[in-house]
Amino acid sequence: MSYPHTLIATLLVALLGWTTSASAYDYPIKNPYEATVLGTPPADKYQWEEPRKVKKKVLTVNLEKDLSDITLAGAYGLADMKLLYAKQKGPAPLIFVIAGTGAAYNSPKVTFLLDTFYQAGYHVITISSPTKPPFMAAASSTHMPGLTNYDAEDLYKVMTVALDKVKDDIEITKKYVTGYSLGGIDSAFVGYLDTQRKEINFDKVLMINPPVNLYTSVSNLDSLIPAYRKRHPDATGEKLFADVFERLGRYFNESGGGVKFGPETLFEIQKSDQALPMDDVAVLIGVSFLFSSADLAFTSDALNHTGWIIPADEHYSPVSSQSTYWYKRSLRWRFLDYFEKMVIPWWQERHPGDTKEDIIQKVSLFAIEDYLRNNTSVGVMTNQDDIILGPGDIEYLQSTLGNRAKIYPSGGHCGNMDYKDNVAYMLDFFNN
Amino acid sequence: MITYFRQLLLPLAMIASVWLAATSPAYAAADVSEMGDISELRDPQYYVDISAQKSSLDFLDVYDPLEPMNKRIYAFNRLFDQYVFLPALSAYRFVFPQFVRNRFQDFWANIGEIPNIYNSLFQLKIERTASSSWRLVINSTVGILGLWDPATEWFEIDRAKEDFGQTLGHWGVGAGPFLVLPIFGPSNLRDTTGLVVDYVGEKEVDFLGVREAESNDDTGGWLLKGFDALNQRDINQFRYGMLGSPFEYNKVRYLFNQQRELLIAD
Repeated sequence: MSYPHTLIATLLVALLGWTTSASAYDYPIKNPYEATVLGTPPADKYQWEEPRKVKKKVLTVNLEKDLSDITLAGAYGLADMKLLYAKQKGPAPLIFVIAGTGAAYNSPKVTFLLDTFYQAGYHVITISSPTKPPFMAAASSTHMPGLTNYDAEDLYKVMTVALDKVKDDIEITKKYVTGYSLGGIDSAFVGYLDTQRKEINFDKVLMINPPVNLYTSVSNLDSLIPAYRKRHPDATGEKLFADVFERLGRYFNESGGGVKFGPETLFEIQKSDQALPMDDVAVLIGVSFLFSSADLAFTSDALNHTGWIIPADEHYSPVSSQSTYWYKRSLRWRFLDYFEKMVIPWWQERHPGDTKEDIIQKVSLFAIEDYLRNNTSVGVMTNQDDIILGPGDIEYLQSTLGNRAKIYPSGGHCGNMDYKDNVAYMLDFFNN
Repeated sequence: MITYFRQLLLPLAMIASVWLAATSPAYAAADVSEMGDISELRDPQYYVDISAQKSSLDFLDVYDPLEPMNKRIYAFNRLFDQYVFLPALSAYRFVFPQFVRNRFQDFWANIGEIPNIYNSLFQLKIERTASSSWRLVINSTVGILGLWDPATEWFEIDRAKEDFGQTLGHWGVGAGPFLVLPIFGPSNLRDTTGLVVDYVGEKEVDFLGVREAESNDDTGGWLLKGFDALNQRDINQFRYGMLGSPFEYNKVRYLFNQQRELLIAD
């Protein structure tokens, strides 16, 4: 009598088990722009059973560059090449983490990756993006960041010097490299360079939300502000700001005033009636990218003396009253202006005959396609809706890396990096 | 809560202003659907529509006639921070655990309730005068001379900072030229005046005898001054070079003025 029931129950359980295991990537934010800005709600982050206190210190490496010519370097402490370093007591793998565009060695996303891999039992060293002015001044041989093949050489140098510095301090079992966004493609180029130089011998390389075609990624980010203008022709920054302020004010009033601002607050606001419209969220990404581009274009100009921003007969000086004027000029530079006006001429001087298309190919993932295809130690983790990808990019990653390409359905650009499934995937990738 | 507001809104203010300035309305009204999906980013034709736009970035022009001198003092402050303040702060943090430093923080904040009270009154903000007074009474008694902050923790009366610079701003006095003060950092003529008035004001009231003792040129006086300064540096999260930007001076100058405007408006 009870037999059929048991059977049905077993079937049901099996079915249930099947649906849960096959399902359902539950990263909660479905809009890619919102995911990019907000990240992962605290409750959905990866939780460690016994979190340890992460002890990290700043590691300063000297690349013995002659900075005497570079007044810029001394001006605002840009001469120091600083890394973050966290070590385990016993033998452990060492992982290098490379920051994304405009981000420093101690920025929130980098620190998150440091904490994660430290909890997982690795030694960790983090490096600023080659697009960050201090890196450009202290560690770049070209002062022309974004050229991933050249940037990889600089990063490789920093890594070997750093390794040399810590080698008596820690016991290293394996060597890994990872990075997110531009740092993702950087890590692949570093891995590729390593197969030729063989000075470090990386065991594994993981790209997190990398660009596939750099030009596409930069165009996408450059276009966010004009796209906003197109949708809201009469909008102004002041109105946007006033609107944000008003919404927050109403949210706090409606909540009875008892709300404290915490890690959950932004997510709560976005669930409420006072949620910021997606257009506003998207334009914030564009503006933050504009800031990075301006710093980068200016620093590159100051170091290479191209004359585009600082007139050729003037020199950068930290006490010069010209800085406001220069800043304004820099803020008018989109990343693509930097590429067209500074990067292409610089490249063509060294590689005569190369067209713009050639350059784009040589600094994008296509340039190291064979390495990506044949090297089973290289993987990628990204999202179907990553805003820096263009047509065909996801398919390219899948066809090149096969099952080493992990594509999540949502998460925008790096928004789901700290989501529980993603962290589990990253750890699994390196641990197994 | 106001503090949290500001932490969020300052970067937003900067972002909004730059965006405002860096672009100009060059488009006729088009589709105004929300940016809910990214299909257009996947469409190569999309970029045909998108072009660069130029307009003025006047908002970056903070009135700064003493800029060369200010920049030199700024550079001095950076070195002072690097070689004097931050090493001293490390020692301070090494000697005193977080719990003890929190007591110092609450103590100095309680002393600083005095200017909050009279400046709220000067601005005829009666409710705020009352709440700041209550905070002083509660924290000085229940909070044991201000070492704890039960006014916030138990009674949920938030701290509301008001200084004489804000009072002047409230009554319409403009910021005046931007100034970088040695060691104190960014300011302007109005707020520097405010600093002086509050210094005198606090000394006149001399709550718990601290400000008078602090101004003495003896060991106790210098010790108090040192503790006061270290406590402030401990709270202040700013580090020179943290922006990693060649335009740090411009950004700090802009953000300082924006922050003051927000404080005055609030």
